[in-house]
Amino acid sequence: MKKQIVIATGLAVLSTSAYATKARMDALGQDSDQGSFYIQDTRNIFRNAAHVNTFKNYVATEWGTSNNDDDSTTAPHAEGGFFREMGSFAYGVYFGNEAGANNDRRDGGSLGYAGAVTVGAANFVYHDNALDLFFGGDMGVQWGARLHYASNNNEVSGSPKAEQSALGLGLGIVMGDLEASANLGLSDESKEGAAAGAKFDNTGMDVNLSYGLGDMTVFAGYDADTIKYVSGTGAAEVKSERTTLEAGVAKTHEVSSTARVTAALSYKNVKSTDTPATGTATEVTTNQLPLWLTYEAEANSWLTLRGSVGQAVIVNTEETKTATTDKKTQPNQTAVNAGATLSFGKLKVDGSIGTTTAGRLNLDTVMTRVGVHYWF
Amino acid sequence: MKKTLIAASLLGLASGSAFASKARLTALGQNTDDNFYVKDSRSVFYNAAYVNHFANMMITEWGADSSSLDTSGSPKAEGGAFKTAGNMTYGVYFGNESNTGALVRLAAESTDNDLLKADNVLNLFVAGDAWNMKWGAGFLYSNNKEEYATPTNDKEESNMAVRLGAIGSNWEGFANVSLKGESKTKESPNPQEFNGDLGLHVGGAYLMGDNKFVVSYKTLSWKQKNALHTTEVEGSYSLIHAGFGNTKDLGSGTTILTQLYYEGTTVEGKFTSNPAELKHMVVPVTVGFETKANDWLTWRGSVKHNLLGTVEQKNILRATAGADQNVTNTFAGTLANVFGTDAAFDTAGSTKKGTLTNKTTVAGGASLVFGKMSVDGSIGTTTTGGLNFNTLLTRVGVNYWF
Repeated sequence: MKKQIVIATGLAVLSTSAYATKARMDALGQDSDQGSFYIQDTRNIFRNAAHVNTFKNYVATEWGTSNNDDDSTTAPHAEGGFFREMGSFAYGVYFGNEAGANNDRRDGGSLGYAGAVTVGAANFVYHDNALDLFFGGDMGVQWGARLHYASNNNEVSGSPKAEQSALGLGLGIVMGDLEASANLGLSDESKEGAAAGAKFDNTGMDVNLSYGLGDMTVFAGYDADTIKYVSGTGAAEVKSERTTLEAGVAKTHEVSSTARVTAALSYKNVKSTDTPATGTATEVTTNQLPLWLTYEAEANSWLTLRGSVGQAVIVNTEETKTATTDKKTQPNQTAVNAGATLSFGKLKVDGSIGTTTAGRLNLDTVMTRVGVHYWF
Repeated sequence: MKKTLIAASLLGLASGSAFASKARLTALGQNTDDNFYVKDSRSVFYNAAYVNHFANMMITEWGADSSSLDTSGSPKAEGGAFKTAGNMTYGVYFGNESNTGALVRLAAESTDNDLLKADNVLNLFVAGDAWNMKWGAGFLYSNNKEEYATPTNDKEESNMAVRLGAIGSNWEGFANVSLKGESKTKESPNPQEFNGDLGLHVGGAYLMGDNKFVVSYKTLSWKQKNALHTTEVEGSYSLIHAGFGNTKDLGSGTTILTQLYYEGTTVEGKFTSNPAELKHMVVPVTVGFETKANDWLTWRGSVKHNLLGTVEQKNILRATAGADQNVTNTFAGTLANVFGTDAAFDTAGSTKKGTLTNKTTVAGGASLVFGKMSVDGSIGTTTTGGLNFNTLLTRVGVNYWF
């Protein structure tokens, strides 16, 4: 009981002055799109919409560009939103979340998940101007829902109308120590533009489960994504699929109310399959046992520092199967990340550090992937 | 009791506020792998008993995830954590890839980068306190491979080593044994092999007042085959180190250190014709300091000068490239970088001996301290003689004591 109170207090402190950005997730070795299974962050609302009840009354902005490339640490996308409580309910609006949109793969000549088939063509309209609406409630059990919508088109006289539309749904619950969620990409299509009858169809789903056991969290997640590409009317379909299965356990040591270290070990299997219109499919399967060590601590009243080191241990293979099979160890799997938060009362500026030149602390670019959030 | 206290102070700052990074050691003129005279978390790699001194901390060394050698200018990412549980301390560390191991594998290549180097290295540690001494043990493991549908292109490498160490009241001893070190490629038309025999690094130290006397012997032998030498060739590497260091605590968080040691390295390749040999000998004197400027800033620096320094090479790089050449240009260049660019290497010839040139070196570093967290780095490395605020710190290491 005592441990739970201490942990809850730690989490509460973190949530009232909580952190909330992709940079923080990157620095802690987590998924910057969907957040973490075991570290509290507002990004977790994209994995489990019920967390809209945990994190409320704030505005978040992620600095970046507005272009058609996928978001990355070195070229982040502009996005952001606000979240507010309303009695025992909470709601939120978020702009520009293009996670899973696969915009890079819509480009002409782009390859599928296994890097073996072309799935993109010129002039497809991108999954752009995305809108996510959140709503949740807390009636003993926290529940939440997320609706994702995007719609864009490009009409050029004399050419087929190019259009794109996407609809997604996320559902989640938090019931004591148990969290469960599912996110469904119901539809995401880019049609024509490249040629009459050309289509890029991008769907996906993920289900997630985690359970807290004192200072430990057991978690599992399954993600499946599919791209179907047709180059024009009557053309055969090309398919690219990827499934990701991850299961693991994390242990958090609360050093104090403002500092924690975490160790997480998981098994991760990623299988990518590219199936051409004719010929042999290419299948790339990776199996890893990543071990991540993270730390985060308030250095003083205005500065929080965080970092992580991780590596695939014991299990680290990549198998490529076409007509023949090649197998290898994935090289250079040791990764170190770092980040910081500058706190100005309720305003916080997060960023990654040390990313511009490996091993260096540059003051001309102090932070990258900056996110600014204000808690009201 | 007094001896213990003196020994503890000689070994470095109190562990609760100790620093721990390659940048720190570089700034103090030390070797980042065998830092015998300055206590640092890096010490666990030559004497596993030091894990006891660095319990409950996390270490991260910023850098790239690449296959190149780790250098101050291009550091590699690595890090780990040590945690006390009961009476023991356990540790896990990722990515500490020995430059010595990489260097000798380079020696076995006939084509650049054909042999896999040690990668995704995992170090596990356990340490404790018994029989009036601290003891520690470590295990190193790496295993990487590439298997192709055409097996003749397959590559593999593996490493296994054990570390043992002990620290008494005024002495320390260690033995690190390389059990396995292999790298092979079947890639046609140049299959290459590096098969390491038993490797050993043993040594000890004795503390007398503020002085620490150290002796250390490192040896590794291997057998190699490549396109230039299809018959198996034996190679060997040995390093003898003997010296002493004096560490004076001046109070107010200031420490002055001086060192003098002899270090002799021999690398041999017993080729049938033109056996190759490199002999490197240095007697450097180092003077360094570390001082707390204020609560959040610690400065450190050193000057190191060779009283004696020679390098002698025989048949490392012969005049005519190709079949007559013992090693690749990359290996010769790497030797020059590691052991000092010198006339002995500049001119290809059968035998050359010379004094190591330009061996007065100055290094600087700093730590930004935030309570239990420190950000260490080297300074003044980007523009020689300049303090550059654009790149404030290089070879950054962040440590957190929890």
